[in-house]
Amino acid sequence: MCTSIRLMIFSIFVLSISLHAQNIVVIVNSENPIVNLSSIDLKNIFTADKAVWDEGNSIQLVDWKIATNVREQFYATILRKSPAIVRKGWVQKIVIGSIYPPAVLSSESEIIHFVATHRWAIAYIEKKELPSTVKTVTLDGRMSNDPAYQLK
Amino acid sequence: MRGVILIVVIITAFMQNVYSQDRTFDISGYIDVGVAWLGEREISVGDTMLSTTEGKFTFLTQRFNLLPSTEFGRFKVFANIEFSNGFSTEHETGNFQLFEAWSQYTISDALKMRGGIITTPFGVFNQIRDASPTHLGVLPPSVFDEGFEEVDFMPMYTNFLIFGTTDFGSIQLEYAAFTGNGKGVEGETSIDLNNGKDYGARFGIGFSDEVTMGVSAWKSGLEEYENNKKEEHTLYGTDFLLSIGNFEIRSELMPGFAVINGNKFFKATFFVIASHTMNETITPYILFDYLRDDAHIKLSHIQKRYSIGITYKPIWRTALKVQYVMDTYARPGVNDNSNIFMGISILF
Repeated sequence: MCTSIRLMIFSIFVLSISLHAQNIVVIVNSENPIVNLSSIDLKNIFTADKAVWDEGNSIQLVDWKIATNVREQFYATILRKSPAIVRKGWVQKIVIGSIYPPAVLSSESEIIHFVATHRWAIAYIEKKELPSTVKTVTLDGRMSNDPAYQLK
Repeated sequence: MRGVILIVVIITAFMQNVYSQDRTFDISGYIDVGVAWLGEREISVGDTMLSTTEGKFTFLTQRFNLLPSTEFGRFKVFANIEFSNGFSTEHETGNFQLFEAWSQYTISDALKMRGGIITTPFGVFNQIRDASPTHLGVLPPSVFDEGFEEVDFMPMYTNFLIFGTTDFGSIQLEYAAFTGNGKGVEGETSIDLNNGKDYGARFGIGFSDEVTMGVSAWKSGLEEYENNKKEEHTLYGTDFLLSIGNFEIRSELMPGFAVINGNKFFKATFFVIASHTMNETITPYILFDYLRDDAHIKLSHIQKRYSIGITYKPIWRTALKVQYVMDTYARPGVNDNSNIFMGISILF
């Protein structure tokens, strides 16, 4: 009886995740030469453990201010930490000069505009058509339409 | 001397911003305001006496820190400048401190080089000991107690640093190696006597983002004590972080000694803090601090501090904090005391 209930709850949980799951893409400025990131690098970037691009320039983080489905899915899939824990790490890195204060924005249009105007910025959004000043990067060598793409 | 360095850093930062659109310039910082109710307590009077004071309400150190930085290619310049308690040169009030001012050359995350006035990466928290937004409590852990600032005990600053992090699968390695003037600087003139270079290193290893352990070592230059006897000495420290979901435990141990008036005294600090973050905004925590200072008349020789507190972050840059603190002392006749601290830290 107990096992059945657990199975039912788990099924509902999986169903709810799949219903809400969205195809998320990682975006950077089109002048950034990066074309691919590993999921480990992506995690390290957003936890501020990786602070610079290969060119030596500081990475400018952009994150969602509000708890959207996109943010929840990204944190659960890639970072596997809560926003509170991640942001505590940001604060420690900011005060010792390791990173610039991340831009925490409320809307998709704000995020896209920020990435378009900051050469070394990185963000994640729901998959959509993008302006030419912004491009997506592959994740672990996979494009967002790949069945094995991690942020589906 | 520090004033000159500060001016150079600021001018450099602005010049880089003015002359190149491709260069990044940023000023962030933090403000720290706090109050406390301090219970009845004994205070040290002179070298041997204690006196009891009544409980009182007081304001804590009011801080305003500026963090200017600029970046051009692989070079970065950064400073941490603190003004506290209504700083004024005209009225000679308050304090001004230059915590850090350095230039960094970045090859990659695995290899960075830094030169200037640098807080020493001795333990996890040493670099951030003065930055209130990084602490859950109003009072930082006792590792950073002002009574422990003698450089004999803990390396406060260094001048050249090589550091980095690198991943091997789920294992993360951190390293930092540094060298500086140590005690070989003539106090009044700041002339490097070049006879007290110190150097040290920290190595850390992390597993699956959940456990990080670090060890630090620091070897300082010639030290005079016991009738001008000279020797070098080495200090060691350890740090530990366990982070599972929203639950964290951090601790740090720093044994060492200080030389005061030609005599050598044992010192040590240890803290452990456990916290759990709820709803992204509320973090209750408990903190235990242990201090041993054989030269301190009141501690003589041990203070244990028990704290319980809560931090509320309505937004991630702002923290409202309440902390209840009870101090106990090993010395007979020195009573326990209870205190309540409240504060707000804003990062901008």
